[in-house]
Amino acid sequence: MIKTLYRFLGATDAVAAVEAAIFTPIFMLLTLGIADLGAGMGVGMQVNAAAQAGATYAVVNCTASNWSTCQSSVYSAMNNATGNASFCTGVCSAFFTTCADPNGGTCFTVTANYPYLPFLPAAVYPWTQSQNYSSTVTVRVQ
Amino acid sequence: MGIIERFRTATAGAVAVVTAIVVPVLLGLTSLGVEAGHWYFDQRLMQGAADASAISAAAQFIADYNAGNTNSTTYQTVGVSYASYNGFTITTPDVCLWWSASNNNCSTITTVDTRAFVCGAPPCIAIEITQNTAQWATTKASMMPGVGQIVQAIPAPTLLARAIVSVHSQTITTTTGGTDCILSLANATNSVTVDGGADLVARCGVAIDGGLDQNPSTPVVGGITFNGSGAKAEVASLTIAGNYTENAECNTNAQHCYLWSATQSPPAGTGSTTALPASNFYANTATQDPYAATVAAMFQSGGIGVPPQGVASVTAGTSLPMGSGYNNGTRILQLQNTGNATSPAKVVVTVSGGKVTAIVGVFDPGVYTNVPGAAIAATDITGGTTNPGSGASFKLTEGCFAFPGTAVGSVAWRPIPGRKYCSIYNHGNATINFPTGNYYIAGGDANCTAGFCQSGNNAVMTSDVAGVTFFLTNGEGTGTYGVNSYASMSIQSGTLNFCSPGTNCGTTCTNATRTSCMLIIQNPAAPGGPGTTIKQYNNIVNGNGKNTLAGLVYLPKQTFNTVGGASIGGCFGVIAYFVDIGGTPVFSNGCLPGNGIGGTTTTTTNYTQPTLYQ
Repeated sequence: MIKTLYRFLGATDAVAAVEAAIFTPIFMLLTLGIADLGAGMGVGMQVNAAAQAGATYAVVNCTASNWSTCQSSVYSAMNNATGNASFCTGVCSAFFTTCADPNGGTCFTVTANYPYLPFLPAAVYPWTQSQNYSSTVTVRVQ
Repeated sequence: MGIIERFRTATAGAVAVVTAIVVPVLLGLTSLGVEAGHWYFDQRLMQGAADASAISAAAQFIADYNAGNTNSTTYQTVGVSYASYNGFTITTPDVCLWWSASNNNCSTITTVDTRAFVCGAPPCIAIEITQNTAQWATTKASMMPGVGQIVQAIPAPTLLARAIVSVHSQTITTTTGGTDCILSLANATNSVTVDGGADLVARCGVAIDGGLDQNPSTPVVGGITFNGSGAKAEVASLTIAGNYTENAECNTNAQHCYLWSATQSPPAGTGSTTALPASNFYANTATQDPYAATVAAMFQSGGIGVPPQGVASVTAGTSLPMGSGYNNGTRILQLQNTGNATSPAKVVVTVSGGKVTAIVGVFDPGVYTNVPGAAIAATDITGGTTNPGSGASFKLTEGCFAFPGTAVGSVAWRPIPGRKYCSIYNHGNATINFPTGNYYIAGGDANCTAGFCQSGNNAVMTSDVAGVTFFLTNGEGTGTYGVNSYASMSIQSGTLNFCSPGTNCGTTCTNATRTSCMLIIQNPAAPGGPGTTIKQYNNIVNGNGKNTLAGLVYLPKQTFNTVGGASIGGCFGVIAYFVDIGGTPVFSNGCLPGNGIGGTTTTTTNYTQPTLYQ
């Protein structure tokens, strides 16, 4: 038994396989982590593009008075910006409001949200835990 | 074998060693890739924030500019605020206003970001958001892992996001409606004259001298004159082209000038006791004739004021009696349209034995582009239906139509609009109603030398509610009432009840343009104007009748003269060269387009919705 253990420790056969077995999880962690980072960034860009598209559309086409009919068009513009026809379903918000800025005016605020479920569980990298990407654009229109 | 040689030739743990060497390089390159992605991601965020804050700053600029604060820099503060709301920190020089390449405060932006500044439709508001990635911890970690100079040599970029918003300009022309209802154009101290005992009541302003003959070489003296101690004016305001000293009667002698008040007029003449305050008296102020161009165009070729051709008289096409098969009696025959009539003429004839035996007169002169010379066949249309008979024909003579009054022979007649009349008159006791439309009075005739006449205390002329317009213009040919004879008004007695189109005989003008609500329009080519005196070319409304007029009377070269006990009510205004007031006419601006004469037109530029430009 002891002899077998010594023989195992002294063996040089399949060293590469053993070493690969040790490093593969480490590489996987690194690779998937980077993939999550990139994919999350992609979702972040999507919500940002949606919010910007919604704001741009509203600045050009919408007023507080036609808002009841214009709102759905804003969401359509946001869907188009993401290439996802159901992107805004239940997760976008857009509204005219009085500006918080001391100079006053009428503001338009549009927010896009989108959930991201990473490849790696939260226990591995805290920053990859399941998260909701959100982007808000506030623009004064009057 | 020494330890060094043994280490050099050992193969155990080779993968670990290779990994130890390769992993940092791989990690470094990977983090570089991730970081480059980070830059693009952040640049997108910056661009969105720049767009939003530029639009926001433009909104502030528009608000300030349109409020008159054209030099306000609050837009910069707002741009900084909204960049902050959208996640980025900038300073006021990063927000700029571009009017032109030489007039802007964009030097900071154009220095930091050397891209060409595109602003095709100034003014533009620009925002620049910049971030130097060399300052980022992530970029530092990616670029400067501390393993040497190789990676550090890759320059970390400065991210730039610029938004340029073009502010749409728009030009707004605002016409402030005038409130005057009398405008006299003569440059004379008696441009408006109120005769002894007369009371000029104007529920509106009175303006004198509209610049028609004002020029720098002529002293401007247009004013109001009161003839006799009893003469007075009750007006809402008085605007004169002359100065105070030459027109002191309202300025210093309050017994003539009173402030019209709603409680005392109408009925006119109950008397205002409030002197016209100085604040309602404007001297040295010209008032343009707002109708000058419109009316001049009316009398140009093709204009609405140019009378059509019509039939002045007819003769038998063949020797009388002519034709056969006509019903006997007094018949109305309509001439066939040979293609040159908008409305063919009608004649009244006597038929006996089925033949036309006599021509009574023209019933309708028709409207022709060119009255034909050859004999034209005619059809019996008596009673509004086509009746039997044929063979009668008539030769036509072009000219103005002699107003028949109330009958052509024994056939009852009423005025027909759109025809060229030599004159329109009502001498006697008849009531004549004018159906809605335009009436052209060309030069006058022996029945009414002025052209538009009424005499007889019981004479009444009225109009449909839909309104009429009388064009007073010149005649044809070389005779007494030819091309040099222009029609004018001579209402010596009786009653007028006329409405112009758009007034509905009410108190308002439903059309704000200056082409409706005009009752009497005299050709501006008529004699009069500069060099003439107040009594020289008179248009008289005299008598004791109670006249009611709705609309504008426009006599730009001649005098509008009310005489005797004549009262004029309704809602009417007048533009005349001279205005000579006797009796108690009551003027009102209610029936005039645009709420009266006068007023000013101002043009302003302001800015509307911002548009993303770059």
